[in-house]
Formats: sequence, C-alpha cells, structure tokens
Amino acid sequence: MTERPASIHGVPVDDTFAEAFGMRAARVIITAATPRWARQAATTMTGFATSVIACKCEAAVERELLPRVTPDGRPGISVLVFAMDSDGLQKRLVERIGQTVLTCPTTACFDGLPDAAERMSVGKPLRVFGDGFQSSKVVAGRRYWRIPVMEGEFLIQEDFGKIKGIGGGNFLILGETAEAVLAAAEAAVEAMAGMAGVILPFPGGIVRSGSKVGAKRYKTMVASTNDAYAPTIRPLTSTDLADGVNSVLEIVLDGLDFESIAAAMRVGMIAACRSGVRRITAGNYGGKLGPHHFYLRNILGGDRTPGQAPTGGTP
Amino acid sequence: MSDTVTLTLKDAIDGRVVADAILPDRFATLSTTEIAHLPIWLTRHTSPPALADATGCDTDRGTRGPDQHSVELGDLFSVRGERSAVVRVQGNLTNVDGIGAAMAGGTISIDGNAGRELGRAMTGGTIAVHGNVGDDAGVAMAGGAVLIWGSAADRVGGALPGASRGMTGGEIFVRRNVGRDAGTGVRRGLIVVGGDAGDGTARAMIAGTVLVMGTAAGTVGLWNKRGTVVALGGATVPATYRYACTYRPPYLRLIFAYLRRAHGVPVDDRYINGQYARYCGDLSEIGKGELLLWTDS
Repeated sequence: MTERPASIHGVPVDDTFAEAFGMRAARVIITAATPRWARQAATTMTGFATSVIACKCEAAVERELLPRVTPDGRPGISVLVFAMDSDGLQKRLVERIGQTVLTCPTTACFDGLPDAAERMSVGKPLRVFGDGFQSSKVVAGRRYWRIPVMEGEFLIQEDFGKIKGIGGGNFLILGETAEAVLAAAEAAVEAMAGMAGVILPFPGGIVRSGSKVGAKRYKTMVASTNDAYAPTIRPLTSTDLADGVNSVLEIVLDGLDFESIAAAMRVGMIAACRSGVRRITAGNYGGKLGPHHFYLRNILGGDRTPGQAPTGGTP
Repeated sequence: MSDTVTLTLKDAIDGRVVADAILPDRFATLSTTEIAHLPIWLTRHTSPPALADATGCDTDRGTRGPDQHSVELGDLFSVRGERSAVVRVQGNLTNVDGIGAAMAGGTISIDGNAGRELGRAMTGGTIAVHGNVGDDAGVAMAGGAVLIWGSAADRVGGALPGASRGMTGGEIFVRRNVGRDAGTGVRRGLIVVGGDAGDGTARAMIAGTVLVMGTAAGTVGLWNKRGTVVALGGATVPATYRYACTYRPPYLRLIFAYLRRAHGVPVDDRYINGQYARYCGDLSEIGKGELLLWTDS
C-alpha cells in the first residue's frame, strides 16, 4: 500500500483533495529566430489567460524547447491553452495566435499534439489575412500555410490537435507571514517549472485571491473571495485558518492528464514545505465541482492514479 | 507468414519485364506458391514499353503483340517467404519495369538498379532503391515515398501520357541526379534531388515542391502555377518570373529539418540559415508559383 505522509519537513499536509474539472486542451509550439522572440510571442499570447471565469481560456508557457526538437529547427516555446469546450478552444487559439504570434517578428506556429485524433482548424481561418496571396504546403502529410507579411512570411500549421485536459488542480500554502508564504510559493513554482504537460496559468504561477463558487452577498457573481482562507476577516467569517496563519497563497495547475498534474503537485508541495509554512491544504467543493480529485497525501506518497477517497479519509 | 518476402532474379533478362505484380500489399495475403504464380509481362525485344503500361490500362493484356507474353513471377525470380508486406528484391533489375505500381502500403527494398515506372500511381508505402532507376519513377503517384539512393532518369514524379497532372501526393527523394522534366505537372507532393536536375524541371507545375540541391539546368518552372522550385546550386530564371525579395523562407527550414530527421538527408547549415532570392512566376500563368535560389550571402 502506498505511504500517505501526513507532513513534509515538519509541515502538516491536510488529508484532503484538490478538486479539478474537465477542460479541452491544446499545445502550441512557437518558434522564432531567437529564444527571446519565441518567449516574447509566448508571453504575449498567454497574457490575460489566468482563469476561464473572465478570460475565456487559461494559458501559459509549458516549457522552452531546444532547436533540435522543434519542427523547423529553431528555438521554441511550448504553450498550453485550456478552454471549457472545443468551440471555445478553437476560437481562443485563432484570436490569440492571430493577434500575438502572427504579429510577432520571426515567429512560426505549430501544433504540439500531432497524435491527437481530434483536430481543429487554426491556421486555415488565419490564412485569409494573406488576402489571397497566401499559399499552402504539405510536409509529412501535414498542411501548413504561408502568409505573406511585411517582415517576410508567417508559417502556421493548418490544424491543431485537441484533447481532454484537466483544469483546477491546486494546493494552498498557509504560513506565518506573507513573506514566508510567498517564498514558499516561489520555491514551488520554480520546482514545477518546465514539467511536461502542466501549466500554472496565474501570475508567476501563484494566486493570492483564491475564490469560492458564487458569492454570499452578490447573486450575479460567479466567484468571490475565499473568505474561509482570508486572514484579515478571520473573526467575521467561518474561517479555516488556525492561529498563527497570517497569509495564504494558492498554486493552480492545468494539465493534459491526471498524472502530469499529480507529478507537478507532488514536486511543488515538497518544495513549498519550508520554514514559516504552517500547513498545506487544497481547495475542493465536496466533490460537486469536478470529477478529478487529487488527494494530497496520496500524491505525496507517489500515487499518480486518479483519486479515490482514502480509507478513513476525510475529503 | 514470414518477416520478408525476398525475390531474387534468377538470370539476366533478355528484354524487358513489366513486373507490376510486385506489390507488398498483395504479397501480404499470398503464400510463396501464389506469389510465384503471379503473372508478369516479358518482352523479348528492346522496344519501348507498351503504352498500356504507361497508361495503367490493363484491358489489352491478351493483345500486346507477338513479342510480349505473360510469364509467372517464379519463372524469373526465386521466391522466399510469404504473407508479408515487406518485400526485398535482389538482382540487376534495370530491365524490370513497374515495380510497386499502384501499391498502397508496405515496403519494397531493391538491392540494385530498377527499371522504368517505379512506383507508378502508388498511393502509399515506401520503395527504397539502392541503385539507379529508369524513366518515370513515381509518375502519377498520389502517396507514399520513393527513396532512390542513386540517380533517376527522366520525368521523375511526372504525369502519365495525356494526363493533366503529375504526382498528386507523396515524396520522392533522389540522392544523386535526375534527368529531364522532373516534376512535370506536379499537383502536390515533394521531390528532393540531392544532385543536379536536367532541363525542364517543374514544367507546368500546379503546386507542390521540387527541391534541387545541386544545379537545375536549362529551363526551370515554365508554366508553373503555384508550385515551389528551390535550387541550392542555382538555376536560370525564366523571363516570365520577377524578382520579389531576398529572405529566409520559414517553410524551407521546416522542409530541411524534416529531411534531416525523417530521412537522414544531409543538409548543410549554410542552406538552412541562408538567404534565398524569391522570384514570382510563372507570370504567363497565374504567377503564384515561386523560384527560390540560394544566395551565398
């Protein structure tokens, strides 16, 4: 039976689970003449993509790619994009690539999920920017569009793969001071950086404003502050914070599959358990929000299989 | 069932053979005996191949003339193995035409030279020739790959007589040189020539790409509609093409990376990172084609 550690480096880990939900995912490979311009395009493309609540998609850089693994042999960046449905994912890709990658000097854009059976048209709707001067080429059975631009030419693959992904993997870091919690969150993000199949869509990979579903006071709000973990209103609400906890930060993860998220959460939680951290926990809604449950102690024990409630465990 | 079906030519052939029965996808379901009994056409004199073969028409098989008659594959080849889509052919096959014609899958490996119409109208699979091939290799092919480690004669990837388009898909790699009229009427697909190309390369090309890593001699890309002709060793720009700019085409980097990784084609970094002069043409057609000439700058 897998060991289920209750603490890491002396920091207690709650016997609970992170609750995640299904999303549709795509991987976009951006290449450019230099790593700088590949990063620039990726950074711009993934701007304002922290949460589907208001951004319509969640996106971030997955990792940097060496020239020897990119389709055109240039420096590249892998970007993951998540949306709630297939149509939304395709629209977001067309919008974002069209406005941020097509416009960026020296870039080209390729599908990063070539084995995905489900395809969506991305380069094809963008081709019309060429106003009839565009041309297509087929290489190794895949079609690419060459769109003439002032700089020279923009190359983009015609269709991109889409798969079922998972959004909303998470863990919370509770600590004594804001500085200590931030340092722990930074350590977690650094440890998870570049792990395959996972992104941390929030600024610097960290969320300071974790939310609960809906609101107590405003009916139109889809989400509002997670008051149970907000230390400044501890006496005014039903708090989950013990004495001595004065700040909380959250790490949110989206991934292409359960195993990728679980692996990243494990690495991140271990890195976050350091001086000044009082507790690690996770956000869930009792299993009502999504079908993917990441049990923290199972994950820390090395179990990457989709979550089942541990015997005697308390979700 | 065996891993490979091996055909070994028994004796030198006096005349020409149309061996379009050598098909991996057909061999995949046949026993050794059944393979040996497949009919092939033997022509005892050295006249040009029957027009019927070139057109892919087999309705006149009984009326090919007194010099041509049907024999069995086993009469000319020894057959080893059965029920496999991996076929190896051994011997001097310079006079053996139509190998892999219309094949849809599997692999043919030829240890030596091959005759005319190799892979004619094939739609899938791979043919690898470790030698030279005759005219019309990959003519009218629609898919799959033809890998020729030596040179190819005329009309590589071209059109069948009377047809309006040449190859419509797939890839042809010739490690050395090709003869005249390579890529005539190509509609889609990739032809890579490791050495030089003869006169008339990419004539009446509709689309697709012809990459010549040496020199493209004579006229190049006449009546080209939307095709791409790349000449790393230079070519004479037709009068009906117009210079556009000198740049690094992103598409070529994709092609070169693919050639290196998937097929082990040696491509010098100076070509990958180099500048190319782009000429638009043929302006006597719709003019959406291009001639890309590598510039040593």
